[in-house]
Amino acid sequence: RASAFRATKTIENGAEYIKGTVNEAVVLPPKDKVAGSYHWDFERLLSLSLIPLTIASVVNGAHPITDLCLGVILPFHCHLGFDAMITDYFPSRRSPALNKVLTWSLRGATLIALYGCYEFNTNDVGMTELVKK
Amino acid sequence: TVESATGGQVTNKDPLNKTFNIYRWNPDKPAEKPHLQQYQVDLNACGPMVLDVLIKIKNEQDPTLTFRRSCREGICGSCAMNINGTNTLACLAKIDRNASNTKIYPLPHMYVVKDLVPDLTRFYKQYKSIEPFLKKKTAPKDGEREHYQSIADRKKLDGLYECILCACCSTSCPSYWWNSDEYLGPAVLLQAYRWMIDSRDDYAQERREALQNPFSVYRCHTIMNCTRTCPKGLNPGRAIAMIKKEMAL
Repeated sequence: RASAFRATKTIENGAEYIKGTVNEAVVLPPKDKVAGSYHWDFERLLSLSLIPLTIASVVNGAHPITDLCLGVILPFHCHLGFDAMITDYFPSRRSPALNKVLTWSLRGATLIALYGCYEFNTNDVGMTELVKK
Repeated sequence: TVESATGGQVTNKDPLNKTFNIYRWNPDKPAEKPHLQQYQVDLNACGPMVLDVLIKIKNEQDPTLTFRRSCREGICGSCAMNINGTNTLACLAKIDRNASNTKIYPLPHMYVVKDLVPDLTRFYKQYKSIEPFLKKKTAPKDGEREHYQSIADRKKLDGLYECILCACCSTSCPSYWWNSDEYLGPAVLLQAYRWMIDSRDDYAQERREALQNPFSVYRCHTIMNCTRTCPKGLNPGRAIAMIKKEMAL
């Protein structure tokens, strides 16, 4: 067959456009509330909760509950921050391999941080004491 | 020397020559790298804005200098370019008479068609993707000819409808530089917000849902270069923050 590819494409309302030219629409990424607004909400929630938490640990000193909360919220907060940087500078559409490598190593690092905080809080002085020193 | 229009006494102004470094690239000779070309212009024989300088250079010195322009009064958005590091409209950017040289570049991180002309195709496509027109769910009733809107509701559109789509803000945003394929950019998001809060439009919820992905809106990290550089004094950063707030349900 002479033309196995079609230069034009027809969309739902019957209009036609030539592929690759100005009339081809921009394709938005698929809708996903979890990756969209819920992600943003969660990010802000963590950031906001860190404020009273930090003030409490500065004012009250070391306390198991604030240390526990800090030890969980801080690694998650940092994870979200670094994850945003990875999506900014190594988005999966542009550098799929590097994005995967970085995302998984970030997840690993966050898990290690979580475990480390847990260990530190239970068996050692605790995060607030550490900062005080 | 300056000629007087009324034919009266003429004050002889000494020529005030300044250098203009202008980015040049010719697509007819693509192997030649883009370079800065210097032009000397007598500011006392030229209008006060950068666009006047560009037109004077094109008229008198180098007719191959290519740039977009139309209204020369800051309302069409054609002459958007980077002047001394800031994205503005050339027709509104006053020449710094004290600086020894002025640098004129095309809008940053855009493909260059020629000299100072950027390729804004994707920018316009992104604008089209937000459906910048009024959408109603019900047909108008018989006899109803206008979409009524209260004065308070119309006031909400102030600061949003004046956007001339010059692309200065979007091309000043680092997030748009790195992710212009998927991040919509402050200009388009300003317009998206303009349609979201238009009380005559019935599809606000659907407009918000269309942006539910990690890229279209949420690449904005409130860098605020957009508001800083808008030549019309608009505030796209605030509009994006309002979109995020509306979507945070």
